Amino acid sequence: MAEVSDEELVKRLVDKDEQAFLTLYDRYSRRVFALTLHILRDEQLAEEATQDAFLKCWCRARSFFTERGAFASWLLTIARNISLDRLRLDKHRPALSGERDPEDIWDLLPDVESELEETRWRSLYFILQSLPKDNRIAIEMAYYQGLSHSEIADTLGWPVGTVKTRIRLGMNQIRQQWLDEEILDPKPNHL
Amino acid sequence: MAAINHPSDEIISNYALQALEPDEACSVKEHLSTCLACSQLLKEYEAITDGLLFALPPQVPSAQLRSRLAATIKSGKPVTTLPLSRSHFSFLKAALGAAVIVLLIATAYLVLQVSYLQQKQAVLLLLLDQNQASLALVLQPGIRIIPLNTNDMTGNVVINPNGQGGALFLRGLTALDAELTYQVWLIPSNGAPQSAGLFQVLKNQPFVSIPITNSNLIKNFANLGITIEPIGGSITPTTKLILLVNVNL
Repeated sequence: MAEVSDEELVKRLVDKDEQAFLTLYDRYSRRVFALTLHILRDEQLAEEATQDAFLKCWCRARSFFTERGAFASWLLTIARNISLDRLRLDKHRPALSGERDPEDIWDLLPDVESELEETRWRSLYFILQSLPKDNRIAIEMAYYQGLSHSEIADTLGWPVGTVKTRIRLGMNQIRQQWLDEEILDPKPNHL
Repeated sequence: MAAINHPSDEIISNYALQALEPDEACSVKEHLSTCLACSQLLKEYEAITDGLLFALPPQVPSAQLRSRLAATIKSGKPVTTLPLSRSHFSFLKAALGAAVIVLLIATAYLVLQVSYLQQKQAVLLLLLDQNQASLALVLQPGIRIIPLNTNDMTGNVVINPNGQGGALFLRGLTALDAELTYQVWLIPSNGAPQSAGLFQVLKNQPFVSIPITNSNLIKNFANLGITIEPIGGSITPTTKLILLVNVNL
């Protein structure tokens, strides 16, 4: 039996279909929780943020339009914003180095041949990890901690210009390596 | 035709990562609304930032989270915001803990203050009794007054008309440590000194009045003396006299 698309499930969300909601939860909760946990570095806070993100989708399904992008991107963007808001609220900026070693979890994922989508994200993850340390830290602080140039500069004791340059160099390296892979190995049609 | 100032690659990449300061981001956004080339470059970078949302190794939340969500949407109640985060609870707990500690310290301080004031009140009542007894003596007709004047203290010895009792009025004595006391002695011309009472001096107390109590007549003694003794007093003087007065004039 063919898998129901995200778009179809979101349409059912508008009609308050609880089963559709739980299907979406089962499909994306691990990704959302990974993102909130990476940002908040605390399992309880991350679960709260994950819960909040899914409840927002439940309440605001009507405001999702497929023309603007994929549901998963919308959901994860909501989760990121909630997590960053929580970080700002708590004035708590966690260190980048987490206690968990996420690479162990990657190793547990299904075979790459059967999960093309996972392969893309795994590839991006490893490209990010292989960046020169300073470039990676600048990108992670900007994206996963929501810090501006000046905040990163203050935190790391770098000049603002260095922060900008590190981000540019890192982003270009990702663009060259990851997007080149995309051209060689086109991504599938849905997430 | 005027040349267009495009934002640099650095600015576009930083914009895609949402790392620009707000005013800088505003001007880039304005430019992007009219520049196809820069918008195209931005799309490439945004593909990366979108990818960063997915690029983390998946993590499994607790099974309870799914149950909670299912129960919440099933209840049909309006979805409220999340409960306060643990850090807020921690803050509240810390604040409550601090408040309890402050209250305990304040209570202990008050108990100590009350105890101290009770002790002080007891001493003052004793001094009041001594003063009243001494005053009663002074008011009798025919009393004998012997002035005192040493380097350290001044005052008077007052002896009642029949020589049965008397009192000391002294200035210049200092407060002693808690384990010590002043002791008054009646000293015969031949024989051992006899205790005639103990007394304390409070800090900053200008003068003391001490009733002289002894079963024998004062007139039977040649001198009156004061020593510093361990608290509770001694049978015979154990330290050097700090005052010696001839009372048998």
